[in-house]
Amino acid sequence: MDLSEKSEPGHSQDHPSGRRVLIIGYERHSEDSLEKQLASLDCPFMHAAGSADALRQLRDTPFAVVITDPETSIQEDLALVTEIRRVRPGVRVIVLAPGGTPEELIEALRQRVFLCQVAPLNAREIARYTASALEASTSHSGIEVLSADRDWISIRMNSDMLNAERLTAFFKQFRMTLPNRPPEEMMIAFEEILHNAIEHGAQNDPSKLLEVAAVRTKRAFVFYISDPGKGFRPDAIPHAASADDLTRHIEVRNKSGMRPGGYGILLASGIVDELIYSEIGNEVLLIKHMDASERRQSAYEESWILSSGDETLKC
Amino acid sequence: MSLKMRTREANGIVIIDLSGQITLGEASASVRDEVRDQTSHGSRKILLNLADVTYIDSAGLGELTAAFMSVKNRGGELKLLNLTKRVRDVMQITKLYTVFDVHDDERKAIASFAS
Repeated sequence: MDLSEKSEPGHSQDHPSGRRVLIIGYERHSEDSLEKQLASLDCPFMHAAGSADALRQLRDTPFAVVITDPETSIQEDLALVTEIRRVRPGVRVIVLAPGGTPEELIEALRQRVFLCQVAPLNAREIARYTASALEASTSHSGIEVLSADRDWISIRMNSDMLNAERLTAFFKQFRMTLPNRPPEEMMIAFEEILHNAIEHGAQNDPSKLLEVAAVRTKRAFVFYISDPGKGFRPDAIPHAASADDLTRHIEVRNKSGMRPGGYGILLASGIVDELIYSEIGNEVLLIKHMDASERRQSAYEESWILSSGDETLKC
Repeated sequence: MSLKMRTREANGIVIIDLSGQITLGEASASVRDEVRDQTSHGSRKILLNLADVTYIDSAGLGELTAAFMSVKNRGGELKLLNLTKRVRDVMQITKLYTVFDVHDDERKAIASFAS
């Protein structure tokens, strides 16, 4: 099943022929500018002075990717995304914004923008995602929001690595907008287990679907990942490293033609407090507890942020 | 590609300077290819300088470990230099720092091969 075809009719039919990027906003010439980074990745780009100019250029010329002005808000950019899709349904949009609330980031994900990043922006990272957007297949690119609020987000996605990278980027941004946020390293654990679900559970087949949920409670952060595979027994995977022997699995992987690796579960289990697989092994929970001191700190941060208003959410 | 490499030599030691992210895909495979290329040309003493590696995932760890074993099986040595905090954290979580000989000073790292 291809989630992108379900919600974006014409996506595959109207794939832009140009491998070009349209950047909205004034041209920047600093050493670490997006333009410089895109040039280093051989991504051809043009500029639009603003939204109206961008739409005019899109009517005349096919672009594969549009990058919004980092000085306009997510809400403004999402309104523009609707207009862009009327003109060029297949174009991928990278939303850059000076700040954002959890709800705005969720809305960007619902609107299926390719990526949404808020300040402080990392030009190198954005250029890297832009290159991925240019190279990506038009099909199997879907991430569908099933339900979402700031404490519970449920996602369905086609199982490919680019989707995993996009979803992880979303959760990293989302995490930064939360007053009571999970530790940064939990995103490493999430990405590792998501990669396993794609590679081993869905056999790298992008037509297969994964389900992902992220839940925030008062005392814990939880990720849930479900893949369509046959499952496995976590204590019986010879191609994965064990804490008892960190290198024995290398030979197993060599003989079976697998790429080097096998440290994903070991790494994830060293980060989260609990890594719980279902009986079959195709569903997993990653749980990170917050200790009392962290909860006190979060309560303090939350009260400070609530009293400071939205400005504190802006970077 | 999110990883750049530059290879140089000092006192008979091949030093590979890595910059960027060693993650699943092309980037981590390029480390494997470079180490394989060096060993195929007879190099047996290899120092990976990770000073500018901003991130490594489990696939990257797998590449480093596979390269380490490959060089070791050929009678050589592969050592690590200048781990950034993020790389060091990941190495400590997985306890892989017990597998590698890790250095913070290039001169001392080079000298350690001779001994």
